[in-house]
Amino acid sequence: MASITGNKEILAVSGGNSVYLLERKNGLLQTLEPPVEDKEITTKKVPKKGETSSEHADKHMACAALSSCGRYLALATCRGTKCLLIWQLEGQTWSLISQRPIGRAASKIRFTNSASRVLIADKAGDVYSFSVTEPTKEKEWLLGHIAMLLDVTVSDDEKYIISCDRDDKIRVACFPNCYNINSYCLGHTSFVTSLSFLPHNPYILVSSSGDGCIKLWKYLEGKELLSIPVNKYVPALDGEILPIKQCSVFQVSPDASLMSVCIGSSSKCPIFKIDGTDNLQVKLLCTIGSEDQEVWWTQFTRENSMLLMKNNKMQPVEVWSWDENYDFLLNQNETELYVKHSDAFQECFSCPSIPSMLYRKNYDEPADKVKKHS
Amino acid sequence: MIDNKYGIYRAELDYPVHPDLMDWSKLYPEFPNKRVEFADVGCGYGGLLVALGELFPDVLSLGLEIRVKVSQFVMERIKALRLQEPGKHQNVACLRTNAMKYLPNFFYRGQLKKMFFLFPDPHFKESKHEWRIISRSLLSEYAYLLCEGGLVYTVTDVPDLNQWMVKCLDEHPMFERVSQEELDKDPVVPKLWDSSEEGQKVTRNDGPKLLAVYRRVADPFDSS
Repeated sequence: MASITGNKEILAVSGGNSVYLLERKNGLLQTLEPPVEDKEITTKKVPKKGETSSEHADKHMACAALSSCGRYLALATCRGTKCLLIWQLEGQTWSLISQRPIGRAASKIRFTNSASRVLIADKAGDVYSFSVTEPTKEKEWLLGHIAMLLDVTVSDDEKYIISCDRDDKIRVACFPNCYNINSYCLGHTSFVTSLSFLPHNPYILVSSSGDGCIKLWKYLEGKELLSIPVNKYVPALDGEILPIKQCSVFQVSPDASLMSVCIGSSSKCPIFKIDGTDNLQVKLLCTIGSEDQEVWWTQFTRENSMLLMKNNKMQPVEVWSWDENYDFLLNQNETELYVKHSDAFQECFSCPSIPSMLYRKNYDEPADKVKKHS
Repeated sequence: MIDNKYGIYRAELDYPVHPDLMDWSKLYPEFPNKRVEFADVGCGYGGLLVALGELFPDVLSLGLEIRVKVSQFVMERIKALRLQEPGKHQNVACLRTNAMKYLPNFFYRGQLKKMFFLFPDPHFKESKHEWRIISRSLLSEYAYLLCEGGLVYTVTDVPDLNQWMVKCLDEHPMFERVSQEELDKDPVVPKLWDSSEEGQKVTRNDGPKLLAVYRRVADPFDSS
């Protein structure tokens, strides 16, 4: 899925096979993509049986991540020779410092807190670590699931690694001794799409899932603390339970955080406030987004703003801020800066935000299958 | 979709969302307050399972089998045995599930004392090796499910697969090979050959009997 992230200076939108950098001051667009020779390979790639070439190209999206220090940008490409590219910010320019093959298509890419490594969770179910400080060092296998992974994250103290998969599971393993599983957080009844730590209490994990719920966990014990059925707050038109695509959290006080949620095909993005460090309470603050365009990604930045990515030709990227009463306001000036780039972003919306392969196929009666098969 | 010649359906199976939600009383009605301690993964026709039940009358043993027909056979077999010999075989049961995916849904951390992997699918093709039931990924899961000191028994008549399993287990920091001396004293070991249907077949054909047993040890990382 195409995603957006950013800091005070830039916004990074990933989609297609590249990452688009927007300068927040002037709205200038820069595209970072794999070097040319790789592109040639892409065009020669023979599509698999039963796929047209465009289907093949559109099956996956590149994933990008920005290190918390803002100095590194990583991109996992999804076409041709799939590879990890790392750029380093030197003065005003981003220079490519590393290009390494990754093997399988990536689902999620993240820097560890110290930006010493990049972690890639892939569609085959494995997590690999790539050194940032040694840009030519080979990848290191960390752990594997028997299902497609959708996210991976490492605790701020870098003691635990948490991964989630298509089979409803959240696994908490030790880090860097990832072979030692500490616990499982079991309770979701569909694929688990994203993981974050609750900023005001990092011993609590926030997960989002295709079952339409956000769950909060004491992850070291694998204990579910709270489940938020988002559709109760933001009902879909036909009463259907929509999957949660991802969520983003941001600390606003020593004992409270905000959470924005990106729901299925919905054009609405609810914002919740989570209060308390142990005895958690959740309330809906507001729902932003009014037009019919689907919200693709929501992300808080470190500097009190919230980014929204929408499948909207006029306004693909929105920047929101809030006041002391948590009234959310659209930053009109900045949002308009990006309008002229909407064409560049079209590729980001070229494949569905939730791949259908995440859903389980239900084969009820084996007898039926035999009949169909013969 | 039929997965392979054995007719394993890629059907999604019933499994509890969390071990707390598993109702064991249907499987072990006579033992309401006991937890399963031995798991026979891919129990086949249940020969070893029944033998374990007799050898360890106070321990609950569970056979896991993914093939529909085979798991039904084992369930019927246990039902019949319980009727034939009232009071016996109450400590064994069989469940149809995909052990590669759902073991943590059934068992708590450190709950298991022994896990058996008898004559697993060799998956000869190299591209299929990651689908073997013993792999570096799955061993971490087994280490989580086993208590410290718990044992993993692997048996095969395929030398390549034996080498693969030994390599995976040797390389995993939380497993340590059990010595031959210790195996000679283990009452379970002879049962691996003479009770399981596959084991009897290998004996009849005079095939190789390749056994490797490993103990779950504490994470060496914690003490370093």
